[in-house]
Amino acid sequence: MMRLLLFWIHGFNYFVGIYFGIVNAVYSLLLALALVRVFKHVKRIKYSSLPEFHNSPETPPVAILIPVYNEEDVVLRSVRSALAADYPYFEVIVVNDGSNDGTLKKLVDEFELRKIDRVYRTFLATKPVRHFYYNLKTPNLLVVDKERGGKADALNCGINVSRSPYFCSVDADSLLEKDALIRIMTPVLESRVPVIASGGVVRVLNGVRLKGGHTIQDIDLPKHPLVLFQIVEYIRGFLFGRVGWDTLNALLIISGTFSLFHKAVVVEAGGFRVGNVSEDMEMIVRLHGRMMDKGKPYRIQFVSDPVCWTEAPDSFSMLARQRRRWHLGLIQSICANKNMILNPRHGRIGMAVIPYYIVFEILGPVVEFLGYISVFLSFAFGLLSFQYLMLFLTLAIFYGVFLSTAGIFLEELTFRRYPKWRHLLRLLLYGVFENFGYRQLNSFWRFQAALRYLAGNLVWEYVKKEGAKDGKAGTA
Amino acid sequence: MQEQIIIIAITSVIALLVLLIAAVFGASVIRRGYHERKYRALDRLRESYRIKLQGALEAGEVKSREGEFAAPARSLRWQAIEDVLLRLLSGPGHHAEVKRLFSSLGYAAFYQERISRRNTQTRAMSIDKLGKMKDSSSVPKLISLLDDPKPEIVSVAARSLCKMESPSGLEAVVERLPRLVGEAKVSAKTMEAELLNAGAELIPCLKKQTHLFDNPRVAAIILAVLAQRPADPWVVEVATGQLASENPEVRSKALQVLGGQEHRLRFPDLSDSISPLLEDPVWWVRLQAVRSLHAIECPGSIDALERLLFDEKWQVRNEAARALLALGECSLDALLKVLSGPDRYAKDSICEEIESTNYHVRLMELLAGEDGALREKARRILELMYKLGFSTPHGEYLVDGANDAVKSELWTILKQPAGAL
Repeated sequence: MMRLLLFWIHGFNYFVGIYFGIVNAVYSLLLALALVRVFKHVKRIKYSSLPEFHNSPETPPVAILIPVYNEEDVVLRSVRSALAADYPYFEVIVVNDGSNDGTLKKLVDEFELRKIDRVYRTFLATKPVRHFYYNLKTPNLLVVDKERGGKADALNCGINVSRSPYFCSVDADSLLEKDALIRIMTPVLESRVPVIASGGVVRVLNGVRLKGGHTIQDIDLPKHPLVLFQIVEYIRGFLFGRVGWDTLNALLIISGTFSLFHKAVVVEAGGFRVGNVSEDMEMIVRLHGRMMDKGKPYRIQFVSDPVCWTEAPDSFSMLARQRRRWHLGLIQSICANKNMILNPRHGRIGMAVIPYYIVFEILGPVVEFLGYISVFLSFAFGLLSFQYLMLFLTLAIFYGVFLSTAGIFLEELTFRRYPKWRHLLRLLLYGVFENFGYRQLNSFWRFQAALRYLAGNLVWEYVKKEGAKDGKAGTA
Repeated sequence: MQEQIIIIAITSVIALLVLLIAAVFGASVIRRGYHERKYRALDRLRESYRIKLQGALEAGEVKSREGEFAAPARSLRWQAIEDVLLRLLSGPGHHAEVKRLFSSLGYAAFYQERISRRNTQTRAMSIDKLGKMKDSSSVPKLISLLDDPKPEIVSVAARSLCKMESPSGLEAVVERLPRLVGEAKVSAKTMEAELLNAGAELIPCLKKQTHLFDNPRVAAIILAVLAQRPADPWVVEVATGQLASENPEVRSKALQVLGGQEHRLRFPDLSDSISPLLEDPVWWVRLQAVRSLHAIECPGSIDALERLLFDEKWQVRNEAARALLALGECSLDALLKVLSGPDRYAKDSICEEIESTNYHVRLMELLAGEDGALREKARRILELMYKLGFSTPHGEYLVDGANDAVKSELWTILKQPAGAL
């Protein structure tokens, strides 16, 4: 009996080692691909058609959809920044998803909106709309007040109301850079294959100083270590994770905080799925499936230069909630499209990318968390040699240090949004330290989410925004 | 032994990673320091050469002082002078002198040489620069690049040729449009945006190649570009001819051309050509037809627009209502007729557009006006709006409105049972 147990423990420890090895190999591949791609992209920006599209009245209109739920402290900032977008023609549609704070009043007062009677035409079924608010002085702003139905429902409502062929979803606690919209659209318009969805870079707003309350004046780093860890994480995730997957034409996640969609394709797919905590990812997986079923060429892409700044949670409890939600969303998104798993009809997405996500992203935290426990306990009880422990630490932690710092260097060599010397040093420091505790904590939260999912406890957790008061929740 | 090997292997991997991090860190630090100095110096040089060049150009001394502006290729001074010259070229005046300077100071030759490099980005960047410099000596070379196998090169070459003000360059691009778009070398939207850069030489160039309009994809691109250009009888003639195209996109773009503001001033009878398209089987062509009629603001089209209030697509209905409202009081009878009729969709569209264009403000004004007939029409429309559930403006006026006579009229309307229709 004891022997069998030892065999299993040894077996699991080796499995964990191999598992980390494969994950690191995939990350290294993504890093290598991203390195080439980002450098090329940075050069390409200099001679892209961006100024032509910027000046052309023929550039297709885009609707910026901002779903809001109890965001009275941040809503004006995000709407003002959306209205300040430098783009030929765009409309801003704010969907108030049944807020019970002063969100709607703030919008009405600030933009001197008045109630307007409009017919609500439902291409996508949503909760009922109560009122529309509008003012001819700001003709490209429309506020829709509807009954609470969740973020996906609010987005669907925005789609129903919008009159543009493309829409860009932006979170209420986020700020679009002035040129983000034209930058995300340029590759879409330049592409010779129809682009049905496109994601931009999301960066952490905390610490950034604003001008006029809605435009970036001075980029600085916040003091809070937890936020600094997230900054490093976002840089790594967006600059080499997403870019790497995009290079393989196998993008499964684009952030709902800032993503652009072709409206007709989304409407045809039935809109965002209500009840899914990561409606953005679920939509992307579903779109891949539908487009592959149709057998038409398409592209879902990530662009590394348009930037949207968003607030990151600065307390452990809020961060834990956010991470659990993200993981739960990931699991839900894959489960909702389980017909794609290992389905040859869905090509590389069905045969490789989704299986990778299941084995290494969904189950990753479970293996990682149990792996740490098993390896350290095995070493403590003398079941494991020091060499193996070192090997494990190299794969699990030191290689992570390399990847984290590589992300920061990639940023430094390309976009360099954090210009000061102390920024570079602090980011590097946090890049190293995030591998000693922060990453493991993240795995633990994701592990918790996986357990909760298995237990059938699908609690929708809200994440409080920095600006929010009295513990009011927000649509994250 | 085996254990030692593992230890050595792990230690070397860690050491290698640490070394790599240290090396990249070192490189970043050096790069930062270098860039900081470089850009500071570049800013200074730009400012000083901006003043010098501007002065020399205004005094007409550029030729005699040319030596002052010569710099070794790729040096900071070289870069600063290039930036200043490009800026001057995008501003008003001295274009010929600046273009000549690009050539005589060696910029054109420098970038022409780089076009033959292997790296695609270097080539594309050089082509882009030559386009921005409007260097006519590069036109033949850029024309040959339109046949390059790399789409990226083709796209940048086409864009550069479009903005170089060279008839032969533009002709080469226009001539190749069917192939560029057909083989998907350049996306249609990119081509459209690139052609918008073309100057006055575009029309003569298109006149020579009217056969291009036989290709619907190309015709749609050209018409989209023509829609943004000043009035020209030939453009109107072409667009009118394309209204009969079998391709809906071409018809729609042709309508867009005819609806252009400038055309209204010089071609008052365009509504006759546009009106038949109001019956088009494709809804977005009908929509464009309404928009064009809206732009032309022709009172003679009231009947046709009225028919479109019953269109199956709400976009067309709303646009028709908007176009009718833009015509002012002369369309009130048509609106009243539809509002009193049985079609709920048509009525909703009218009410919606009255509110979103603030036309209800005008209706309230009419309610207080001298003209009895107009007053009655306005009252009736406001009454019908109320009965259809579009009563927010009424309520607002009762709270904020200034005129008591209007308020009293509105009270009479609001006293009736709502939702009667």
